[in-house]
Amino acid sequence: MLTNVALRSFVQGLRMSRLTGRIMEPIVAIVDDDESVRKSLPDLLGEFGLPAKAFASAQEFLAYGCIGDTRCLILDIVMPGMSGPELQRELIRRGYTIPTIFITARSSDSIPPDVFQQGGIKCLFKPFSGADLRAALDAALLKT
Amino acid sequence: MELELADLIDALPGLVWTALPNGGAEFINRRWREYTGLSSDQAAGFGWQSAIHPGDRTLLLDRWRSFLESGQGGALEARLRRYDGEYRRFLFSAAPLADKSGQVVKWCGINTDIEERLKAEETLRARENHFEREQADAALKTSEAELRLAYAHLTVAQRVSAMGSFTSDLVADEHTWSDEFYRICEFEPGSKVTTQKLRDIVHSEDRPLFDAVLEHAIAGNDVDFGFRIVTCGGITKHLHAVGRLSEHIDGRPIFMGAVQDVTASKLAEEALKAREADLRQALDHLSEAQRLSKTGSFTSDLTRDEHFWSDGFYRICEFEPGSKITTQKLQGIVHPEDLTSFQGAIGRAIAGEDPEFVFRIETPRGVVKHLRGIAHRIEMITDRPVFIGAVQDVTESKRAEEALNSARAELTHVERVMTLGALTASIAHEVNQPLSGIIINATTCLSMLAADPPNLDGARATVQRTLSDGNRASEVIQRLRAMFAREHPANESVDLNEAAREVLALSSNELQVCRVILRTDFDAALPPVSADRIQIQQVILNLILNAADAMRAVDDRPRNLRIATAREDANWVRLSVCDSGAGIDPQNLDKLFDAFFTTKPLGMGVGLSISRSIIESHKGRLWATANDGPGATFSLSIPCRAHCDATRTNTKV
Repeated sequence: MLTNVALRSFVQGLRMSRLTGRIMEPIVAIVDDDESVRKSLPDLLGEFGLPAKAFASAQEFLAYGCIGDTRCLILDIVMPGMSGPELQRELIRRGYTIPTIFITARSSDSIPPDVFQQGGIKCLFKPFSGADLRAALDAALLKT
Repeated sequence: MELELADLIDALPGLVWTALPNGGAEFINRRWREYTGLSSDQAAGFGWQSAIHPGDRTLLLDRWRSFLESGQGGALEARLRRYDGEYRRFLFSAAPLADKSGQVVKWCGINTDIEERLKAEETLRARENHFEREQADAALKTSEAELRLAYAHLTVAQRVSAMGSFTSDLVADEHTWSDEFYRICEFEPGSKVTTQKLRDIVHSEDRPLFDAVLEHAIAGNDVDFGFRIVTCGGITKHLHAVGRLSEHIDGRPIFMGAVQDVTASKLAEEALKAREADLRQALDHLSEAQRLSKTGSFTSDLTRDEHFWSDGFYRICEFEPGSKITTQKLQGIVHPEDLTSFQGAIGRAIAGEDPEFVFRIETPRGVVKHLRGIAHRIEMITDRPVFIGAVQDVTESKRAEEALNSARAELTHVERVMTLGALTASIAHEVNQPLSGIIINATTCLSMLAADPPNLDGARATVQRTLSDGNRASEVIQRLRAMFAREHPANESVDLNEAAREVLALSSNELQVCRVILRTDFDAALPPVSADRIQIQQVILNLILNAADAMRAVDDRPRNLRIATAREDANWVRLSVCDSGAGIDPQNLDKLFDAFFTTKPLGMGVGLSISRSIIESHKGRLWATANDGPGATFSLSIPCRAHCDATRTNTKV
């Protein structure tokens, strides 16, 4: 289970969406072009008590229109089209600074050095353990 | 009557007389008296003898006496002197008169002047003789002419054949030589010849032989020998002399013979010997050359099963040199697996082709050798085909070829491994994803099972996903395993589209990293090719990675990579990989495929050369062309499966 502090802050983030009138749950957004990751991560996050939604590309995420409800981003770095860091930059441009956990199957030298300045919390190398992910999530959610 | 008788007797044309039985004349008629000029008294008794020529008197008297004694008459010729002293020849005929008792009582006779007759006869005879003599003369002249002609012929013949003739009495040292003999020896024609004169010009080294032969001849033996002379003109000539004992005169052997100047033929003989020595040397050289080059040659008459082999051939087959060769004997050492193609080659040779064929033999010692043979059917003497040809022991080069093939296969494998090594990061990535999924799913599963109540459906789902991820990882490993395996080339029916897709799956990540925009144009109706799947995939992978590499430095335009397949003509299939990279220098378009040619700082440079040799071993082509726009296109074409089967030839075993 997440720490109580983190959970409290998460719940505090619940609010109404101005546009739709729906009560939007704060979610963790997963953006990864790999199918294995997209299929497996949401359930794990669910076990952590975090609603999650997975997107196959940065464009798909942007088009979905739930940026404002995204409490945390789990981003793959290298993706066809817009990469993870590029998405982060785009969000900042739009005025969102969302805590981000980068995940990658690649070696460390494909990570741009400035990701952590822009709100990046951690970078996890696949395959990562559940505990590593939880720790990273804790850190990310505390920020909000 | 008595008177008439007396007139008659006187008138008779002949000298008539009677004689007594003692031989004395009794009566002579008037003609007798008138002719001889003797009176009756002078002629009576034996007085008539004085009219007989003294030269004939003795003979006549002897004959007359023999008539008288025998009582038989007869006739004889004698000369009777005329009244003027001239003698004329007469025929004296006498006949006896006998009485009744047979007793001769008287002799009578008549002498007839036969001078004229005899003269006429003599004249005739003389004329006849003259005529005969003239004829004989003419005949003699003719035969003389013939003789002269014959002699002229002989002289010419001797001149032409450089042969002189001789008749020699060795003991008396008398010799008759023909002109040609003089000419050969360069003596004055007709000059006197002695044994010594000839001996003087005999070559000093041959004099002992000359002397010995002469002795042998004098002993009465025929001779036949050769010797040299040195003429006064300084010319050395080889002579061949033959002498035969023809007769003995006073116990001395007379020889007839001929001497021929055989210098020319002697020189020709020596030239021939030299030529023979040259030929022998040439044959030795050939033999040696064959030994060094491990070749052998042959002439074969297959119908008669007669074969002539050079030493080299015997050596190659390890047969006893000079031993009898039969087709069976040779076929006996041909490797059983090659026997069919060997016989096929013989058949082609008989049919008039000039086959070049390779086959193995196993020598009697058990050594296996690879031989390459050629045969040519030479024009036939009868209608039997006769072949000439050569074989070469190519075992060493075959071994070298095999070693080369081995090395090439090794290198191909190494290149494949190295290429795949370049994909390590991508491969790791490919495996990482499903691995990551497995761990996440397992973690989720445990969490769900630990819940109260346990979330069994959720757990089941995680397990399904785990299996799925596990299979995905497994596929990658399998694909890699296949690519890494050192397989012997094994041809199977390959769909190039499928093969290309698999390669793309393997390298997709790499392409992503390289930010390559991939486009495929696969011909759905592409016929299969007969190929080694792994090797073809190795080539396609090589081309794809090269293309991605070529675009690494491209930033101002999209990195387009297009892979297309199409059927080319009726029998070929083409696959091309087109990039939009830096392009290729036109002069390097073919050099690219040379071994160790590379423009990459860390490149090994064998990828394209190996790729080309792989495609060429599939009877295909691999080449590069520059694009109209940026970049280059690498294309490979391979024969379709059906065409490949049809064009497969019986190559060397």
